[in-house]
Amino acid sequence: MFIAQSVLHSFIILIIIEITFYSWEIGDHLTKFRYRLLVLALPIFTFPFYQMITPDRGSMYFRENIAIFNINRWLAIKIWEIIPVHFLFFALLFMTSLIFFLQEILPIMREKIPAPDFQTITSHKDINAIIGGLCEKLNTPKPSVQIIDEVYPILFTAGIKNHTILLSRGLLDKLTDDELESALAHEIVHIGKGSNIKTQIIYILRMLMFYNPVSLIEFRRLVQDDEFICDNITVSVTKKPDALTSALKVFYSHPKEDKASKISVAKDIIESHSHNLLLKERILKIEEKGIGDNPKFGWGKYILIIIIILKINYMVV
Amino acid sequence: MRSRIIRQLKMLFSFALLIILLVAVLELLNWMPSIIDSESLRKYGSIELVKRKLHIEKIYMPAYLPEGLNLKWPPSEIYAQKKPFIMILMHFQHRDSADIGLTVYQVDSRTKYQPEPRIKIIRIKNKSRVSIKDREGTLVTAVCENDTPCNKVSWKEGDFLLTVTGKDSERDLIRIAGSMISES
Repeated sequence: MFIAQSVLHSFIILIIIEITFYSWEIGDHLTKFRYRLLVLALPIFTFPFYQMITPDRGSMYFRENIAIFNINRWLAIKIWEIIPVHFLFFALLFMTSLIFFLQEILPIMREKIPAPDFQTITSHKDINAIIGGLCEKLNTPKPSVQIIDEVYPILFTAGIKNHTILLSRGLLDKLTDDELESALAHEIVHIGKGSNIKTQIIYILRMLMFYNPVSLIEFRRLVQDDEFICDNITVSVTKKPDALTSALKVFYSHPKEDKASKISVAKDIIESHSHNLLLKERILKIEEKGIGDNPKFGWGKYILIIIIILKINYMVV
Repeated sequence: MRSRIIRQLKMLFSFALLIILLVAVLELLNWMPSIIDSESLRKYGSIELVKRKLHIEKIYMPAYLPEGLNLKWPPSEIYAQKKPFIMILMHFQHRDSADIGLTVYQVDSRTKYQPEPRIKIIRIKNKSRVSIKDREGTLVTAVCENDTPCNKVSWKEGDFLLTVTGKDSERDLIRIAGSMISES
C-alpha cells in the first residue's frame, strides 16, 4: 500500500508543482529547485502521516466514500481478462528499480579503482590567484586545488566540509583565462551553496524511493536546476556570460567508438547525448538570460502549495 | 500597483482552475474502472440496484427487524461485488441517530475474506454454537467500540457464509438471522 500510494502521491505532487510553475509563471531555478524537492521528499512521509491521523484510511469505507481516487479500482482490473493491471504497475516499478540499480548502485560497487595519482599544484600562481579573488567576491572559504594528469576535460569539486577542486591538465590547456575563471567560479558557487551535501541528501531521498519512476526523473531535474542556479550566480559574479558558455562547450562529450560491445557503444551514445543536451540547455539559458536575477522566494505561496498537496493526496489512496 | 494586483489575481484564478481540473480528472479516473469492470467492489444505493447490476441470484436480507431496536429500513449503506468473489455488506442505521445498529454480510464461503463491518468487535467474551432454523451457527458475545456490548452470529447457507452483527440482544440477533432464511 505504501509503495503504490507513494508513487501516486509523487505523481500528483509533480502535477501540482507543474501547475504552480505554469500559473505563477515561475522560471527561476532556485524557486523551481525548492518546489521540486517536494516531489522527492513529501511522498516518503505522507503515507505514514495520513495513517497516523486516520488509521481507517485504508478501509473500504474511506476508499469508497471519501477518497477522490482509489488506485485499487485500477489495480483490480484485468486487461482482456488476462493481464492484471497490478502486474503492469509493479513491472514498471521493477523496471525503475532495475534502472536505479544498474545506473547508480552498480557503478558505485564497481568503483574499486585505486585513486589516481593527483599532482598537487598549490604553487600554481594563476589558479590560486583566480580562486582567491573569486572566494573573496563570493565570501566562500578557499578550497584546495588538485590537477589530474588527464587529457580529457575534467572539472569537479570533491568534499563536503573541506572542499577540493579537481581539474585536468587537458582542461587547463583548452581554456582561456576568462573561461578558466568562469569555470572555477562555477565550482566555487557550488561550494558556497553546499551543493555536494545537498546532492547527497537528495540522493538519499532518491534511494529511499528507488522504485519510483517520478523520483527518478525529478532527481535528475533537481541536479540540473542546481547547475542552472550556479551558472546564474557565476555570470552575476564574473559578468562574462560568453566565457562561461565557451567553457561549457569544452565539456561536450563524444562517445568512444572503440568499445568491443555494441551495447556499451549504444549506452555511451545515449549518455553522451543526454550530457550534451543538458550542456546545450545551460548554454542556451545563459545566452538568453545573460545575468539573471533571482526573485524573492514566496514562502506564503510555498506553504499554500504544501497544504493543497497534503489535502489532495490525503484523498488519494 | 493595480495592474500588479490584477496580474496576481489572474495567476491565482488560473492556479485554482487547474487544481479544480486536476481534482475533476482524478474523480473521473476513479469512476472509469466501474465502466471497464462493473463487477468489482462498489457502494450501491439499493438492493434492487445490486440485483440489477451484478445479477446475483440470491441476496439474503433480514425479513424481520425487532421494533424495539429502532432500526431504519432500507439499509443505509450497501457495498457489493461479484468479482473476484461475491460479497454483499449492508449496514442498518438507527432511526433517531446516525449510529449503525446492525450489520449483515454474505460472502462466498470458498474465500477466507471477511469484510470489516462498521460495528467493530474489540474483545470477544464468549463463543457458542447456536441453531438457526436447523443450521448450525456460531454465536459470538463481544464488546464493541465505546465498550458497547454486541453480538455476532454466523452460519453457512448454500455457497455463502452469512454473518449478522448487532448491538442488540442475542435472542433478537438470532431471530433476525432466522428471518434471512426462506423455508422454500
